[in-house]
Amino acid sequence: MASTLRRAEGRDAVRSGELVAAVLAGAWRSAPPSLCLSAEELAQIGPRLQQTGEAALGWWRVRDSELRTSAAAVELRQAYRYATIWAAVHEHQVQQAISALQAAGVEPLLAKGWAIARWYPEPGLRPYEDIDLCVRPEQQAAAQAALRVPPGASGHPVDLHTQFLDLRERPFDQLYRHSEQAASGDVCVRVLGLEDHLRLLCLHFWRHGAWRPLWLSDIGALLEALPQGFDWDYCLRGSASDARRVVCALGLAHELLGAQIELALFSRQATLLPRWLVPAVLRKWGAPAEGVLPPLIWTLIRQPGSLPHALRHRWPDPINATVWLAGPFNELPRFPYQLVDSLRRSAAVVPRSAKVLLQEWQQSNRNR
Amino acid sequence: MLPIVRPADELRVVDLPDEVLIYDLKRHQAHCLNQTAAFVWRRCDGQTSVAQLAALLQADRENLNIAAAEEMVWLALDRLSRAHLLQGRVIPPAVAAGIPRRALLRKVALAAVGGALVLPVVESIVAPTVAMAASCGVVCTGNTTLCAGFAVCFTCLAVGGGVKTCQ
Repeated sequence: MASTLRRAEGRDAVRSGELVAAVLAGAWRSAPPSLCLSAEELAQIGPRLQQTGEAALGWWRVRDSELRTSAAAVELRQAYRYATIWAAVHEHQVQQAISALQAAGVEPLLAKGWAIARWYPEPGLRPYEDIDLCVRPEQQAAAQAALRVPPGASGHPVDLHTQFLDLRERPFDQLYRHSEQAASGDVCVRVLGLEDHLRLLCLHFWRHGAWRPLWLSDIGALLEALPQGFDWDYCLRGSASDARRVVCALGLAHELLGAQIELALFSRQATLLPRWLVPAVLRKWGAPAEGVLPPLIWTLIRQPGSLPHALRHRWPDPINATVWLAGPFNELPRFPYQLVDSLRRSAAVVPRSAKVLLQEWQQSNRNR
Repeated sequence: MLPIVRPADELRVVDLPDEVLIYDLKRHQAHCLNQTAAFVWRRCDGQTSVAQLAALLQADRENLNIAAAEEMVWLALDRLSRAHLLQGRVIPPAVAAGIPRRALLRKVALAAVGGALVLPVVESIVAPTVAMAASCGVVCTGNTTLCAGFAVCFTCLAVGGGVKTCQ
């Protein structure tokens, strides 16, 4: 009975994930394809789009359709309005941060956020919060000093790096050599080169378990903006497993969101997506967002009846398990990865569980 | 006092085809102005009187007599002022004289219906609950948290504005 219920939940999540994918398909284009969705289906995924930041894109898709007056679309439109004005605020923050760094003799590299929003028809369609800047390691202190704001003043939400985690095998100077310049108002912003950016987006997407559909939309938007001379060799250079993940992300953007890509560029073997991958991504996109779960040991003590449910929610999904264990994206079953990942996670929470047990014991002693 | 908009460095403004979006950098509030409200707001330069604003509005809209235009301008100014989009407080004479805003609105609405006009609307836009800042989308409750179901999310980082998200 329980397993039947679980399967039904899984099917529902995949179906919702498919609806999310349908809304985002080609949503980064100035004239996206027409959308075949009922008002009920839009209402079903509306909260999910709001939560993961695709609501503005959702409005972009439905704004010229009959759905535009539906209750769900009205909510999406509000999110679009907010994202649009917020993008203007953020762009100003980007300009301020870059100007402050440049005045201090630091030239940062900007990635994601504003740099990605440029590829969308309107900057508000791609919401972002922090400003990811990378500086030379020897300039980090100067950069931090330049970005420091007096107490009480509103600062810049800058995430300062000396290397990007997903491009850690590429030193700053290499990224800088391949970077390009973009204009934001009067400020000249140095952004990651397209090859590095596409690689970063793909690896970042997998490192975070593909949970956010917007990241795949970013990949689609960039893919369709690539110039003729795009250096695929440089983009894919590095470990074979990273290259495979990049190509898998491209294939997924094509498969789920209809991103146009010349798949003939790659070998057939490279572009084949493992059969477990697409359902795993869709399940993730369609599943209700998880809140912070209480420690398992707490559940065991306080609500033993909900232990099966708690265990099920902690069972790692195949993408996270594969990425964490640096496993290959191939056709082999994911169960071994999930099992090992589950054990790893359990080991990681042992000290925390011990702390909870101690607290419970102290509490019960006090009550006695 | 002639109505005047807040200084440009306190606001961010985006023009959309049929509305204007404004973000108040001091109060951290977002507003959406429809065309009528935006028409009035754009012309509040501290040199244009309400009568002149009404004349401009009448010239821009068909089927609007000058008295109705002036009522419409006062309504717009009242709404803009209450949203803190103007310098100082602007109170319509009718409201100052003790006439309830609802009655004023009804009067302007009747004029608007007669002329098939759109009443000025200043709508506050509320930020959607978005997990956009977080890489894993879970809002932390402590300094560390276990983000179930995600690959590498174990530490809560301050993102700004006192908000912590799990990264």
